[in-house]
Amino acid sequence: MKKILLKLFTLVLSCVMLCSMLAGCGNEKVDLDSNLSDYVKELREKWYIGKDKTLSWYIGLNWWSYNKAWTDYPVLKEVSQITGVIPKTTIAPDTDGQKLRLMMSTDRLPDYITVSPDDPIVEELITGGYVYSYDELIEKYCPEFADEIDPLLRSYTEYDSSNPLYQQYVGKLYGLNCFFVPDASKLGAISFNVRGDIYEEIGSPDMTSPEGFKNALQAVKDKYPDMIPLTLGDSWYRFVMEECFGIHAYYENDEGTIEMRMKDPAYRDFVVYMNDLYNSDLLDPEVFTKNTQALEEDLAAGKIFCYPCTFWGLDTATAALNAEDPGSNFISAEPMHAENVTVRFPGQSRRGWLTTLISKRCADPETAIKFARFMWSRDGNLLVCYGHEGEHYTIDEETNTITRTPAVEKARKEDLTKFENETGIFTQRLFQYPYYSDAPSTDPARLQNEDVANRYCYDNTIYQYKMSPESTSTEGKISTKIWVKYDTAYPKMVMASSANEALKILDETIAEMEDMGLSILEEYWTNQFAANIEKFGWPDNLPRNNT
Amino acid sequence: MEKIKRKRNWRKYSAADWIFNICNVLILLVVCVVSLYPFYQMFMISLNDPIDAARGGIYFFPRKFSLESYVAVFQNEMLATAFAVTIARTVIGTVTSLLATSLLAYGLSKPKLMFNKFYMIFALITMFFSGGTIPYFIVMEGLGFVDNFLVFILPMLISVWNMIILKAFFQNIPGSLEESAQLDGCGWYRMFFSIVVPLSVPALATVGLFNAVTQWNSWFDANIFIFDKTYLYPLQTILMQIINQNEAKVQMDQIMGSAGGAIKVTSESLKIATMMVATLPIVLVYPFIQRFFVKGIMLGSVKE
Repeated sequence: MKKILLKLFTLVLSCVMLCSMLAGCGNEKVDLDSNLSDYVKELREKWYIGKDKTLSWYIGLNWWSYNKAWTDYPVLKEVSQITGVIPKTTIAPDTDGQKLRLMMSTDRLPDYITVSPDDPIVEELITGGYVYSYDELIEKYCPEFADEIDPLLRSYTEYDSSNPLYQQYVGKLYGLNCFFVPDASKLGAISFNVRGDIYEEIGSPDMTSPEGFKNALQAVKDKYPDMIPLTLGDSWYRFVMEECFGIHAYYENDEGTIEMRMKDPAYRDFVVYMNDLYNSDLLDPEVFTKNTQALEEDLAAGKIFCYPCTFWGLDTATAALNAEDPGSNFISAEPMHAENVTVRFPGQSRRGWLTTLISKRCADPETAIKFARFMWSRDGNLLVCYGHEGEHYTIDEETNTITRTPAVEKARKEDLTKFENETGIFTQRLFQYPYYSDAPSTDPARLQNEDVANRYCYDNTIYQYKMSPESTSTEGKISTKIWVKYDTAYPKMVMASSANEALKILDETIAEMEDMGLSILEEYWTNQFAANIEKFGWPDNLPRNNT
Repeated sequence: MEKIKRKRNWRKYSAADWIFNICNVLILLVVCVVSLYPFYQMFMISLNDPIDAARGGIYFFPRKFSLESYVAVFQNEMLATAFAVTIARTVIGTVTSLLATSLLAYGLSKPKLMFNKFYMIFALITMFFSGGTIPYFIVMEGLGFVDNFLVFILPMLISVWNMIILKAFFQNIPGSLEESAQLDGCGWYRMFFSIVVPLSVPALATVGLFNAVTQWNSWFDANIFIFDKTYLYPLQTILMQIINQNEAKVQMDQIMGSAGGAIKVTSESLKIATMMVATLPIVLVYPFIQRFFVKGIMLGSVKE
């Protein structure tokens, strides 16, 4: 008994010691001042901030995979050698921002906070007074930074609100959005993806008219009865077919009022067309019930002919198809469009996908703003995103393009993770700004995808920016009910037994939405849409009201 | 002799017994297959080439054997540390929790303990009501448990639910056993560790298993209390990150145009491999402690 007790006590004691050991682990000090390359020395003269500077940096994306220490990545170590600053990054472990809210309520916010610009927490951080505006820090510590920010980016990212309580924050810049796209013609994302090999087999017919598209689907069905001619995937891509009929996210009527898109006269033609496709067995019978995994399996197994979606969303399926049959692949076809409709699909978000805010708990805001300035600068962007000129990339100043060297391209294609871990290039790219355009892809399939997608894209910021009211407001509550109604009515219309039945369901749905308070929501949409047009302007290549 | 005994038992079975036994076995077989097959299929998919697995149709054996999915999981540098943290918290947390909870339960199982009812009510209140996440965080921060391994151990030291289970079990131990021990000069601690604990092995094993599984699956406390010392993230948090990172990475690679030939692991295959890594260790440990759940350990301990 004594021995057992003694053993137990020893075990517990060793465990406690292990705990203490784990709890007591600390960071090694990194030497930033010795063995500097000429490249680093040159940039250091311009960008050096100070010695032993640290910044805590919270990245609110739980999927961010660059979780090594900053100086473990070679180019990022060079950033630290140049500026004297070592950021300590922490990646969010959750998906709902709970940790960030906990930090807000317990006054433990880090120096930098990186989140999506459309995350509701950004509004909370700004209006709650938790973050500095870049403007006040720039004015105080580095006024020259103001001239280095693209006015177009500023117009897309400065804070905006119609709430009278928040007017003191309006017009100020609180974050620099990375991956902002200055050129609206490069926003292409969506394309009509079809099996290239099968498209050739059926004679490469013209699918740009609704009848032509239907005939092509029928030809596929006749040749391959087990194949699914068309699928729409999950609800994310249903809007693609609507855009083919000139139906946008919201309908602007002749008086300039914004209404539910079901009220668009073209919506009736769209419903009839989709209903016809479904009843002709040309649309996936499980289109409204199939989950993402089942869809990906069908794509990879070669069971689907046409799938309108982002052109990059089919690389896995193409890889699987190629493994079985090297000739089988997906290509981007010219999109179908109704008569007199200039078809355009929403492009990638122009407003960028991440913004970095500086919290008021930052003990050294001067370092924070100066470090942000370096990371945002041409020098910082080139180093972090591309590496060293000559070694990793070349620049053509005439065409303003940047091209990665063949060795880098090869290394990235073979094993991107390994390349990123070995060099650190394109890892913590949270202040990315496109000073140069990337050289066109050398992959012909990729070039074709991008060309088609870019030709038919438009900047849909005016249809997205703040068009969803706050969920707790009256309009927000109505909006929730309206969109639930829309989601339940859509499948019923498409799967109705006849066109008349489908149109009847459409009319009934609109009537029910009116009873729910649709007019109140439409008033909100109208006001916000007008404000968006004033702020961002009408998209260049999108005809208004399809005129 | 045993073989002859069994033969005699079979002959005693009537036709109805045979029908019942056959139906019983068939139903249980169906339940067994329905319960185990999904897990088996996931395991087979995790051993298949990820790109080939995307085509579906893998039911009993891998079509193209590959450990690529597991390679992707174990490539994460934080996984080894996460494993160590999870094993440490599971072992230490279970042992310390069992010790503390059983001691508390033993004390409260004595009706003569002064303020016994008060302690019980006090404990029950904590079981039903809590202050919420923010006050909990403030208390833990005040105690210095933020960014500290002890946050995985000390807050979970006492489980009132488990304490009630053990208390009920201790109360069923015959008082005559303890009386006879006391007559022989045994103190309370000696009595607890020498008599009560050996008799309570089934209950302690059950409670220990609850604790172990809870510790193994925990990730929320790391989510809330670990800020800078990310090496203290347990396995479940890292596995969740691996899944999220790969899913986003595949999409980002595709957007950046560096996919196609570079796709090695799909997000689905990675999810399944991650699930295997997360559950297999605890599933493999269970058979070794199952024997402690055998009933009948008390038979013969008391002759009255």
